[in-house]
Amino acid sequence: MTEGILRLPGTVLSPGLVTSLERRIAMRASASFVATRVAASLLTPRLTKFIPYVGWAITIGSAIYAGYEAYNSTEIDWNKLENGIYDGTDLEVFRMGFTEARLRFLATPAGIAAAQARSKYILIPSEVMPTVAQVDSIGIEMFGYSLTWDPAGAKTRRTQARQGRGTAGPIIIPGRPWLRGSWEEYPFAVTYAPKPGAYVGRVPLRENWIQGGFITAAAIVQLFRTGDNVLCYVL
Amino acid sequence: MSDAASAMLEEIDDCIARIAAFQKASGRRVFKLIKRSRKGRGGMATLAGFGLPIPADFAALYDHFDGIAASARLSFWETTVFLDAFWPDSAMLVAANEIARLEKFPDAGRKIRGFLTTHGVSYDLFFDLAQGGAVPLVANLGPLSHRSFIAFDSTLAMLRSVCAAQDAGVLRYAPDRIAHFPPFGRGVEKDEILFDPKDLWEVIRPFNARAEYWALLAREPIDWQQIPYELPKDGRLRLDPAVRAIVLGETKPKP
Repeated sequence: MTEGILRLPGTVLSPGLVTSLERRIAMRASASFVATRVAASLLTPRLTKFIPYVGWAITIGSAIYAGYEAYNSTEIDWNKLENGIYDGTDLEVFRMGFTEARLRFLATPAGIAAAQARSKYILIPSEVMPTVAQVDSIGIEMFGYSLTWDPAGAKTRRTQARQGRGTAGPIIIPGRPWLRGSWEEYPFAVTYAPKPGAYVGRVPLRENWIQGGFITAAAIVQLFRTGDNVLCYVL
Repeated sequence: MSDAASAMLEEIDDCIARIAAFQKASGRRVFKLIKRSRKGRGGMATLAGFGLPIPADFAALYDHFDGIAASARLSFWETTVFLDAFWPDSAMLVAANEIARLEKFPDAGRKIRGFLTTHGVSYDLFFDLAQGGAVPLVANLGPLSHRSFIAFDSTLAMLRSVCAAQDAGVLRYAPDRIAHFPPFGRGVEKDEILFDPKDLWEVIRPFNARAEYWALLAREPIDWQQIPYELPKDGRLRLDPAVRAIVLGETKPKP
């Protein structure tokens, strides 16, 4: 079960990037997993296996099919999602996505204004992370879009923002499989706004992971340093 | 191809080789991204399809090369090669011009969006200012200011200027962030270009008889009389859906 991770909405964020993102969190099953599924199929009690020839053929066919299914199935790397882990290849994908989007953003009036003010920015593409974009938009109304970069204080701010809240639990969208949830705060934990506090909302875990990748990419590509002014735009 | 066109192409190729060599000698990895390609010709054809007259020297710049494609490995400031401006690949050129039309930039019909800089100014080709077939590159802030200043007499003049500035030793790159760089009147980032506008203007003046931008910049930071850009309170950019699609990756222009 992929819990909707592979069901990214009809996004326009370059199809190649979205495919790459999917691969980063939903990986093809390992050889040992395939072998386990084949072995389990062979060990499953079936009366047919005692029927000479036809029964054996059914058993072997079932085992091959189980192996084929296992080979085609995907495993979600929950550790990556839950702990916000990004390996080198993940970051490469996010950096490319952000770089391409940013260059084109520079040609828009908002991009020209940001460049003229020599501002650095974080882009939140709402088609890829619609729930995060919704939470962040409310947060921006409350705390503004101008933030200060301060990754050292992230842990403390995250703890404060989530104080008194349990786990985010599942997110139920009518007519769709439930999604594993996560808390999203605005200002982002790695930043702070002039006004203290944060707006916190529940979002799908996978969206939060993707957003973390975009923020990290923005920081690498634009050489964010502690104390830098960072703007947040929802696209 | 006429002798004049062939000579121009040869000179442009030579300029690009010198620019790549300078980038390499300055320790900037962007030199590896300057590669020969035929893709630029397709981009010029697409731009011409928008009804834009393409100046010969600008087209020649994209005849054997296709600019520099975005690289996630290099910082924003490491990819400028034409002084403080990027050399966009033809896909980016098409995207920027498409955005200008969709967003109804005031001068969209009279210019080609050309070379964006890291600080919001772009050097664009204004057809109606052409003289003797040379279309100048004009420094402007797009829709954020009504002011504009000729920066280079033509695309070829820009290339000659960059090479001359390199040879004269007036260009260097910031080894680290500098909080305040007096000639610019502001801070600069690591790998950002550094030059004194006065020194630069002295070197490039012979190629740019019509230019006014650098002389003004040499005196003081330019007052653009900027039109404020108002961001909606919820931070959601109200972009035309087609512009949004271009920014987020769907770069193929609609016919």
